[in-house]
Amino acid sequence: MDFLQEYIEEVKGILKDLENSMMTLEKDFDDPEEINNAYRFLHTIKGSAGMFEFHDVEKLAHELENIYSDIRDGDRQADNFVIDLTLHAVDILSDMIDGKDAKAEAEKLISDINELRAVEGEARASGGGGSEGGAEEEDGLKTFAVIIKPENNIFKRGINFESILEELFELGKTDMIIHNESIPYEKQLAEKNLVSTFEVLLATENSEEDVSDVFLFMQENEYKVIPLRSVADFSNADYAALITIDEEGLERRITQIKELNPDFSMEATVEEIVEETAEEKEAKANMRAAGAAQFADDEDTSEKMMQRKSKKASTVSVATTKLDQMVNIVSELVIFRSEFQHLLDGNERPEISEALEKMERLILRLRDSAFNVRLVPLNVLTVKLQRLIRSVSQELGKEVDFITEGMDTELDRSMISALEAPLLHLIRNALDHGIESPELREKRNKPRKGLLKFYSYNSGDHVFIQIQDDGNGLNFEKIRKKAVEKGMIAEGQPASEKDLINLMMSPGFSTADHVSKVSGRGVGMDVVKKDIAAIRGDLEVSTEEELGSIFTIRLPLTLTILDTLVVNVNDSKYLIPISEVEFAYTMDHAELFKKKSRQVNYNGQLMPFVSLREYFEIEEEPPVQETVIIINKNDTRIAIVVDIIAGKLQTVYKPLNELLRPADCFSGASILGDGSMALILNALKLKS
Amino acid sequence: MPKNIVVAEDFNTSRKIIVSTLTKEGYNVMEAVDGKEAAELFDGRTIDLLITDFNMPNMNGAELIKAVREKQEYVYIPILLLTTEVREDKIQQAIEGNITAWIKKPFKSDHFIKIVNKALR
Repeated sequence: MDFLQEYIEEVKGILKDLENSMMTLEKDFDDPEEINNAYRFLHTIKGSAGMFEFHDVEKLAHELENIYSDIRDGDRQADNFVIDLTLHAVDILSDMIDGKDAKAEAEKLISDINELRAVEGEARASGGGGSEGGAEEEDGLKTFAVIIKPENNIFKRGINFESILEELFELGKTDMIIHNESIPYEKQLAEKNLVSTFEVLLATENSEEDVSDVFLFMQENEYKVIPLRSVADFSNADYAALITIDEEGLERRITQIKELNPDFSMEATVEEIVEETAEEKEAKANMRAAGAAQFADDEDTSEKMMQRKSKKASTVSVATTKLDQMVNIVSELVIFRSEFQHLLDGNERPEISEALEKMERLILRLRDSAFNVRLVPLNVLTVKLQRLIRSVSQELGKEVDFITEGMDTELDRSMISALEAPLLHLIRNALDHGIESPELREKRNKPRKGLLKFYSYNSGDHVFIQIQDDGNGLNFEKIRKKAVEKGMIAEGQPASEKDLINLMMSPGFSTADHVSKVSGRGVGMDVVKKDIAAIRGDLEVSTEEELGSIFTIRLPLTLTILDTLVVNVNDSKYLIPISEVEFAYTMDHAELFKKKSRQVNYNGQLMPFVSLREYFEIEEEPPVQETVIIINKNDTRIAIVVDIIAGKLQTVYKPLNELLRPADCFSGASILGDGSMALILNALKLKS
Repeated sequence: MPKNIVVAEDFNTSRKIIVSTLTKEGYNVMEAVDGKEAAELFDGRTIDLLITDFNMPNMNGAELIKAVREKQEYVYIPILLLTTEVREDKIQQAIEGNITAWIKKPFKSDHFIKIVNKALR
């Protein structure tokens, strides 16, 4: 049973890799590495599925693999259709691996694949030209050149080289040329020291796969099976990279191959190939170099693969509950440190202070690494976003370039999962309402293809995610009309752009003229905003009509630890997140309340203030001097008046329970060093 | 004469499955529950193939392979390594250049037999 679980996990990983491959392939249909990767992934899935009786998985993977082997062999081109087909297959395969019944869908897809391949095959067969009767050739006699360069240690690996050659000879008619036979082959065998390169010409009814199967125990760099379709294949880059053939050698091989396979196609005569112009010679040399480079590349990728494997081996997957527990303990520790500090207040000895400082530094480091463990780069979402963009833009008939930046920005894992829905929603909106149709874009002198940028970065103790499109921009006239229609504002009531944006994000507002399949799902911007607020983030919009919009999400780096300013109001303590504090100063109570307008002058600007004493309806006499704190949250400013600033405190954020939720002037609560509780102020909500 | 195969695997169920598969195929199989027991079987008698697990008590797969290759009679015999992790670095280093092929666990019996037959050709 364990094996099965392991297998399922593994296949899912491979399916993800395959998805990634498709995204890369989409940018460059000719990317040989990705084509090869896709082939390899499918091959692995196919190979292992049978072991666990996932026969439908095996079958679908096999059919799809055929397409990629066609592409690899140059018999077909990768295109959007193939990518669509593959992505669809990924979905079906992962359903099947999960034990869902997707047999009908799988069969439908397989018939699509077969149809595609049949059409291609016909096209090739009726295309005339070089090879006559493509389909027939499949079953007939095929010719291969097999080049074997065993490594020195082949015998030590327990491989019987002679038996491998024998097995190869058994496949059909063969002829062998031994290169670099400075030591006679027999002697090389007897001394268990192979130095030669073996070139075998083979005419067989078996497939290329059967031929490769002979070399099951050999390493990829020890042999190469080259299909020979015509004389020209002797100058094939793979061949050239391993063996140099001169004029005489070519004639000899042609004679040999003719003997093995009388039907061997002679597209070019010997003279034509040999009497090549200087230009061709140069081209050939380039090809050779390219071939060699490809070999080097192969090595390179296998090295990379190894690195990837070893990277995998050095990571440990940990249950998220364990991580949560660790963070909780660290949070408790932070509180305990404050408590300790509190106990010492007044009678500190220098040694103790020093020790405490050391402890503080360690706790900070512990905190940082505990949070680090929970961080996940945003790029875990990339593929999801890309797929959404693909399907939505196709659905809407829009063309769009998707550019991501800073996807390695890390966020708390719980935030990433909470962000998924709002991000997908914003992107859907940008495609539906933002980016115009290609025709309209042309009219507006914009490139046909829209641009959707998704970028993320760290700044201070916040992470920013921006989604930018170069489309319509917000239509404020439309938003205003809608708001009036919905009775949110009165006809003719002045409303700034900011107000309108806020209205747009309120419950019960949806600008879609008609409910479209894409963005009109009954979920409005208010839900997006609420989702983001739930992880203590903010959403902001800046827009320019006909130029586009930028949606900016600002998120706290961590969900639970907060640097705060402790303020006193009468006997109570309140906390204000330091990131929101712009400025603070003291002022006489009398001076402050001199005017009825309740405004302070800050940087030459009159700003309304809220006195917390008044707000909480405290009747007692205020102190002579009070403190004004200027709060700035996303460029919205408010001044609040408290008695005095008591200090700075690093606290652990605790959400409020349902009972206190309606008091939205508090965003949460925290425990102070002396064990008492303090509420965290959500200053902007004090305004009304 | 049937070929002689040594199977070293500490996990009972796996070993039994392997042994019964090979016996059905007509091979003569000797079982060992760990590397040490397997190494003792290489006492000069004719052995045509070693199939070994990597993680075993007493003597692991790498140590067993090293011990076998050090004996004159067995320098060139084919060795198949059973692993769950394909080419884990640690294993890679330990036996690189000393084994004939890897068989990734879990395996399908027809694939397994195909490899064994090939190794014994």
